[in-house]
Amino acid sequence: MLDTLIPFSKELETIDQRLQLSGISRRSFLVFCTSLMVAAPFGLALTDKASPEAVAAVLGKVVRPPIIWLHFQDCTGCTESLLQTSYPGFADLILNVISLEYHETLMAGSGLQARQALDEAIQKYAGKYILVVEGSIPTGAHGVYMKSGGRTAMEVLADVGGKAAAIIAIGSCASWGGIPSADPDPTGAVGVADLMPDHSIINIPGCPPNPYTMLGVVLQYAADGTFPETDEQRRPKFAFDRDIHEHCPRRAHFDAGNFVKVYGDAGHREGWCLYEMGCKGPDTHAGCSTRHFNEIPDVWPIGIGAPCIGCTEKAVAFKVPMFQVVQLHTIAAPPTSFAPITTTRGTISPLATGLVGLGVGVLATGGYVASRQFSKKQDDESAPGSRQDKGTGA
Amino acid sequence: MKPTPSSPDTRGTTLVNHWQSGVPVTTGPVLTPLLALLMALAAIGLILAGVRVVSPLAPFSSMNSVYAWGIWKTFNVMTLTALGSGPLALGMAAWVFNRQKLHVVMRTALVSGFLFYATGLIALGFDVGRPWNFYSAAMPWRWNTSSAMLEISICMPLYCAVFLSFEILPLFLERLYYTGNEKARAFLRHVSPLIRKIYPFAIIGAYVIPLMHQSSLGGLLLLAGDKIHPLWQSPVMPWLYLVAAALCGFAFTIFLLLIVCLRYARRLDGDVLAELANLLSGMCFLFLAIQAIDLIWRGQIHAAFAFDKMSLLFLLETSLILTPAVALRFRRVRQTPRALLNMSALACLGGMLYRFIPTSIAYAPMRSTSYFPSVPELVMAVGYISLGIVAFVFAINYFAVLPGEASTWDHAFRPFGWKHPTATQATAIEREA
Repeated sequence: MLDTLIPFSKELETIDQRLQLSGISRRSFLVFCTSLMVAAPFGLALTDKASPEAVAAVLGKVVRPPIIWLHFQDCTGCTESLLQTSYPGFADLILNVISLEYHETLMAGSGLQARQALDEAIQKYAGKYILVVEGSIPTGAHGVYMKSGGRTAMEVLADVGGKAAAIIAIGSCASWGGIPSADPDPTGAVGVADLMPDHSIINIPGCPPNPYTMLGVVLQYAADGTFPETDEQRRPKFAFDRDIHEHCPRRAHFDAGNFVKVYGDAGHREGWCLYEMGCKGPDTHAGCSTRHFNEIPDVWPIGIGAPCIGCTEKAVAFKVPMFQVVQLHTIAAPPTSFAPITTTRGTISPLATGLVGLGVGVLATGGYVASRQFSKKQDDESAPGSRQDKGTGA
Repeated sequence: MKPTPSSPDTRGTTLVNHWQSGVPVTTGPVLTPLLALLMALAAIGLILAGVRVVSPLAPFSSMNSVYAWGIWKTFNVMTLTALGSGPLALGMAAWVFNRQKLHVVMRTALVSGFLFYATGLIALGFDVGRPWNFYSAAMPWRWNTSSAMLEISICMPLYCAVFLSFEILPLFLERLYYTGNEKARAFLRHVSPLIRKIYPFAIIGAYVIPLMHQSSLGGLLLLAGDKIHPLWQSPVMPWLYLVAAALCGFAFTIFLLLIVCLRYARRLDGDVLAELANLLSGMCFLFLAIQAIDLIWRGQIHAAFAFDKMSLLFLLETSLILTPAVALRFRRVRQTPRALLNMSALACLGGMLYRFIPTSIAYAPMRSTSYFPSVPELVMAVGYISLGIVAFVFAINYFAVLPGEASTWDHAFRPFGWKHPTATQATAIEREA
């Protein structure tokens, strides 16, 4: 596979061309197209198609975006997260869908070789490539806290970022500092947008973010050269406009007042709401509650019984203590004890049936008596309602 | 408690909507033993409602995880608001189809309709499981716009608290005018022309909004899918619910008029009753026609004659509606008060059965449990109804609700800038008073 990659990786080609040149069977082609549909079901340009055939039809127009991936002050967790993608598989992703030019964790080369590859890629694709930044940039003491190839992180970012068509800041660190920027913040860690505020930047915060969010953004850029709509924190709306709490699978427990009080208590084992354990769900906007990680249902913090730490919110994660209960702004907190509402079987009380029978009997008798009275009164002078009465009143 | 003395105005006591007619009940004591009993029932019901808020669901009510809709929803709201659709039915006939005669009995329909809705909403209020979130209903940006329940939960209180309340506002103004001091009268003389001007426009909502939620009640049941027996589960259910509301509205107004006129020895205009009976018969036929066409269209007509439990129930419901539909075609039946009372009662029963059955009797989820209301549930349901009856009795005693004597009725109604022969006379009498 790698042999076929080398001659073509130095020019912008479409996914279509790429697949034809590397050779692919009809079956694996359809599997590939199907996996693209599964990849990012957010209604994006490439992946909102109804059938694999429809995806295949547009592949000829989709350019494989050249991507340069830089690591700064990070834990490589975002990369680890991306490695777990299955739709499409990671090999398909970096070899066929995108054109990954430089990635310090994944590349085989090192030292001078690596530096050379980076310089070549920047030169070749100047103004065309997407820069993905993982990790925060230390600015304290003129950036001495991190150096790569003799240059500080700030210099590397200014150089590589300045020539990029767009920058994707992946993870909370690259978005606004993340863990390294937590108090007391010795390195003066900041996000990409803090250093290059006027550049075209997409923030994909999260610790780590869901890899499909990144994939969705890249695929839309590849398909029509645009980025998805973002909110005021530069987060793509398609993935970050949901409130975790509004879509939380444990929301019913919140509403019913079923709260975990201590880790490992009966409620925790039953999967009750983690609000009182400091869950930041009500303050956090992300897609985690509906799109879980690693394609395994319930694999996300709240799903495995850990409270949300609000990693996609600048003001929450690493700023607010982890076990501090959040203030509710849009909904009232339910009472902590709540009358039970679960009854699986109904009962029929004989008294109730008797009462209903009695009531029906009383009403029927009353109706009959009233009806009789009409007949009686009809014989009197004061018959109400009959036609002859008209005009005799008052 | 002394009842209000009647006004010297022979045209009734109308201040804003002079095309209507009303005279308070002036004979007999207000507080009778029967009324005291009803008040006690209402009090017990409301006390139990208070208990409901803090009590667990299980032993108190029979509702369970399969039958989450108890009698408060299925009877007090789904069924009784059909009886409370008198204002909608009569108003449509009077305003839209120009049956001007009906304006004279409009107030009876309005007050009864308002009370049915109000007690139904009280029942719903105590039925709500998370009352501390209830205030969100007043904030549109918190609405769940993909909920089928939203339309009803917004529409019904809006109708009852705004439009229906505005339509019965003249009753209060009139009472204030005829029993208040000189200052109040001067104020009302000042504002009533304004209210009179906006009145016809403001009540448009009172005839549009119930069309929405009455049909939505049926629409809600569409969501239950095949849990509801195929005889009732049908795509035309929203239409049938609306027509059944009109049917019950007409039938209950006739029934109520006859009963209160019998109780307070009032006279009634046979023409108005005949007109109502005519419309009722038409509504019954419309209902049966839609139902029959729908059954044939869906190929379920055989289920109606299977003579099993559901089929017999269906035949009972249909015959309860068919009998008044046919009988009221005969002039002699329309003009005999007793026959009219019986037929309207049958139509009420039929309409109520149609509204009630799909929500509970024909509602059978595939689980091995059942629902029959518990005693507290029943007492609360009866309490709400008693509350409505008590309020109605007070209303007809202290406000000009019941139609005046036949000779004082004014059938010639021209809404905008009209000059009525007796209008000047009425003002003269007002000045004298």
